[in-house]
Amino acid sequence: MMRLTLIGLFLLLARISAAQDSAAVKRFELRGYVKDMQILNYDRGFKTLITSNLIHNRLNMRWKIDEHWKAGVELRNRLYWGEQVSMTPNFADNLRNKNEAFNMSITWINSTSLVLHTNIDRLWLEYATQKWNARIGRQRINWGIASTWNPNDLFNTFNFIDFDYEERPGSDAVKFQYLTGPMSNLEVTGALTEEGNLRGISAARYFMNWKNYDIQFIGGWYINQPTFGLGWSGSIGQTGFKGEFQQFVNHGNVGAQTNLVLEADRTFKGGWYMDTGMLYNSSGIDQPVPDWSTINLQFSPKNLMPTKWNVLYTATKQITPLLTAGSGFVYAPQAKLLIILPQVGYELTTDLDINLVWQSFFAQQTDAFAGLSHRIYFRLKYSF
Amino acid sequence: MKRKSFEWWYEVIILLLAISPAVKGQSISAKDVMQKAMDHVRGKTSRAEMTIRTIRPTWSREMTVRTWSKGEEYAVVQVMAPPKDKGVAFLKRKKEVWNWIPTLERSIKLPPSMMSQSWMGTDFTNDDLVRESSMVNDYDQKFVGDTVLMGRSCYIIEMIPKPETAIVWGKLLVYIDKQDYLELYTRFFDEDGTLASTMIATEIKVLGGRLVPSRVEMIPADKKNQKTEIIYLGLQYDAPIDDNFFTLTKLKNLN
Repeated sequence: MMRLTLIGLFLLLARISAAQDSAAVKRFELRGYVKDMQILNYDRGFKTLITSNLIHNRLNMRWKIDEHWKAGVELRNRLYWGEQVSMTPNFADNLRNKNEAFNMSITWINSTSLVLHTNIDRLWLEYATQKWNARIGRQRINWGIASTWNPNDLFNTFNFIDFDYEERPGSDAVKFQYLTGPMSNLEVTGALTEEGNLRGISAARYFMNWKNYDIQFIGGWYINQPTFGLGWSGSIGQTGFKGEFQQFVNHGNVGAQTNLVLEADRTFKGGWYMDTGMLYNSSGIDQPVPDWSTINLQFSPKNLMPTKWNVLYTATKQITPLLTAGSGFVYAPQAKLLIILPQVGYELTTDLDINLVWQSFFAQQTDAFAGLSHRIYFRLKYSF
Repeated sequence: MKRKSFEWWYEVIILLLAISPAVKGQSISAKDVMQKAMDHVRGKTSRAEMTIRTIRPTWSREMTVRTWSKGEEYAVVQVMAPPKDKGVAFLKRKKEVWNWIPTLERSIKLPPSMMSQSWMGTDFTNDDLVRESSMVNDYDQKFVGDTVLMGRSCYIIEMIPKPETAIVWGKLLVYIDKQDYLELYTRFFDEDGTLASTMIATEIKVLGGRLVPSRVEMIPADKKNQKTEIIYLGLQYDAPIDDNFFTLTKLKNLN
């Protein structure tokens, strides 16, 4: 049924697209990209190598129905093959975003040699007037302010390691926004999460701009406990200064939790950009972990990082307008967890980009502080 | 007595005649000239469409950009092409600048230090595009000479950034046409006094009902065969734009 609906949707959109070509007003827009990525997975000592390849196509569609109505559909088609596919049990199951309330994905091919998966990660309808707007459907609720960890993002936490998912996951939600002034608004959002175990998140955010600071206040109900938060973005001298605080209140048998992020960023002469920050997760791990495979790495608003204290540092340099290189690290001192993330990007032509991304994981283990694994990604991206 | 009275008037008239050209020449300050130049190029409001071409010895890149401005306080810049960057937009409100990233459907507030950095890989800075700093209020201006450029008589104005501003330049030399107040030529100097880049405005024509340079080149001083050029495709002046256009809500809903 889902397949037929999807195919029908494609045909409809193709027809609208063709009809629009001749029309003067561009009401329908289709954009996207195709990426090919070679993935190399090394063990701690670079002794064994598991490879896989991903062809990834994204389609972003916008339809301006009239002055007030607008619709959006975005989907990603991913074709995987290689050792990682054949060696990982139920590989296709891991491609689902477990936070989505409704399953809008299809596994077209599911074998140990090839997996083809489509997921609709945006599907919404919006009505807007001068003073207010409402959007229903799968959408991204962007309450986050900081770059890597977003305590204020109660609806659709993203995985900062997953660099290949630039658009980040969406949420099945209803959002209502009322504009209280040119630079202030009140947003009320309700969402469902986790298919099969449906639970609700509802929260309101008041956003304002005050003395050159963007400031937001958040209050609501996260699954089974009240929560409130504060976020800001401004500057001290030449340096950008932002932060997010979120408190989950003790309720019934669910304990309290505090998440806090502080971050500063600045550019320097010669195309340098530096970003430094910290995350405190009161429920995080505060000692070395003997076996990291037992740790919950499913990111959520209450699990932005499994560890308690975390610092991050990123430096990037634009070497030429076409060539950018950078490196970052994330370190959790108590758990002695270190992630190193160097990368290089080069623009081959206006629409063709090439990226080399490296991810190395190190941690204190029973014997010593050593590597856990190393991943190398080599990616080619064509945008249209 | 009569004769003395006449002499008095005579002296006043002579004096007036003598000083009137000087009065005419000096009644306008360097700051006023800069104000007129900015008012001329900006209008009460402006909308523009332009091509920005970054040129290097072995390659070049082109993008299409739309801009809106209202006075000195508000501006929006939106990238229309290439597809990869389409929809990327910048909002300036007084001293604050936000960057709208359509992929993320999110706006990011830029740190002030970002203003002096390259705008999307071009030889223009973020500040050149959104004009976060004010050519009138953030500098101390003075006349340092006159010259003729492209057959047009020009003031040469030296501009020193005020210490409290975030401007990275040590000094600017701005050449402004005396008749139509066109900024035709600007030399940007580092804090240590070396020439960093040169801006040249040419191809003067009527766009949006005003005489303006339709081609602006930014040439870095220390790099051979490198420059970025802006070619205005269309300009519209003084059409009303609501203040609410220059907001984060509008930024995400630009067509």
